[in-house]
Amino acid sequence: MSSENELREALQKEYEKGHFEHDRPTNISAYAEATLPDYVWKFVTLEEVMTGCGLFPFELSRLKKDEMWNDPKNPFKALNYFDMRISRIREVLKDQKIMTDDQFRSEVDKLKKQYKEQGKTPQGLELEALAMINYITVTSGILGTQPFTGHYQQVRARTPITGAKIVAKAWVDPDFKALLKVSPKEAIYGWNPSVLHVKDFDIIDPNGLEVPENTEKVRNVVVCTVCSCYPREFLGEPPLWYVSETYKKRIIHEPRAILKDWGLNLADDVEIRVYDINADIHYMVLPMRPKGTEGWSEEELSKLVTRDSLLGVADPLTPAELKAQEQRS
Amino acid sequence: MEGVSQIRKFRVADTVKVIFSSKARGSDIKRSPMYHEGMVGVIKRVHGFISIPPDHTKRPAYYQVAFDANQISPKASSKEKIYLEVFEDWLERVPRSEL
Repeated sequence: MSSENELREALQKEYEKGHFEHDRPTNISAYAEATLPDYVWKFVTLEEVMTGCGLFPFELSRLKKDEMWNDPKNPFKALNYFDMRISRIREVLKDQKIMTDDQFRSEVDKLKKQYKEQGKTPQGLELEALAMINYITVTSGILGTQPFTGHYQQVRARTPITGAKIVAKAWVDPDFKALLKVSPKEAIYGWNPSVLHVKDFDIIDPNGLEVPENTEKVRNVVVCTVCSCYPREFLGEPPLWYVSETYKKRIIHEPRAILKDWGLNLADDVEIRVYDINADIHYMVLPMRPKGTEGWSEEELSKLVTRDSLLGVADPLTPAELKAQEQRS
Repeated sequence: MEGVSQIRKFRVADTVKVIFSSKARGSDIKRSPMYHEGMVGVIKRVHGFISIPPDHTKRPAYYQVAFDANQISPKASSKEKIYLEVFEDWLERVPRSEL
């Protein structure tokens, strides 16, 4: 079986779990609605607030992932990406003596009872995630609910629509584009400070950002082979193909072949630059403006930008493709 | 200022070799990929001095380095590049005579 088939099969399993929407290319307006279950957004918030407030360094979570991944007895590998994150944070909280097993079980039991009374069925590790949130913010009061609820709104607001708007702005405004290429965060701050979530409390790491531009002769692609670094401020949470081992491996070793398999056929003389990113500097691709869009407004143009084009594995939609998608929906 | 390295060693277009990676240190550092040790690349961008990483005692200079992918993937063409961020103390200069 080819690795592409393996990936497809792995993704199919994720679809069945009901966690993700993967269709490519997707009209960006699809992201106006949340694409993940609510407990995942809440859990992402908890992770970021805990590490942002210094409860424990994020590094511990990554090391825990490796430990669990390499333990053949641990069923960790069979979990989907977000459930992996939930179960490894659970272990970190235990190791750091922030939440004991008894405290964890007691929270899970409370939630089980509640769900039963309300006739609700939890998805994946929903109860485990909510148990940690309840304990950290309410039962123990370690962090309190205020930073959590404040940050939750920001996390929910992060979608690829932001990235698409940045690209559309760059397509129509040469000054903005010039600044975006040399000093991306300054450009974005000057355009819309709220995107960078610069607030009185600074939860997000001060990541750097780079926005390499695609041309006829150079194509840029983003990956994180070590973990799942991703330009979340501009794109939200990563799609599952991005965090899959298949993508991480193939995009480094045979970028032209995997892009071709995914429908992006690049001539041999086109240079492919694969950015293997880390937590310090994030990357988002500036795709080429599609032909036949002369005179389009920023808003119209932003609809052509897809999440995958911001990562470099696809082109933006053509006007005809957008029209077809809009007619279908 | 204590803990701040004031001088950086490399400039854009310098050729450098990665002399250290996570692999060398075992599993306690996860801020870089496992494959780039020994690879030779060219500095493309200087990010300045970043905040102190967990395994460093000083703020290292930080560079964007471009590598030919064929150093790890023999079938890759010269038109396939891998771009990575690397700390200065993990790099050594490759003299022109060795190129």
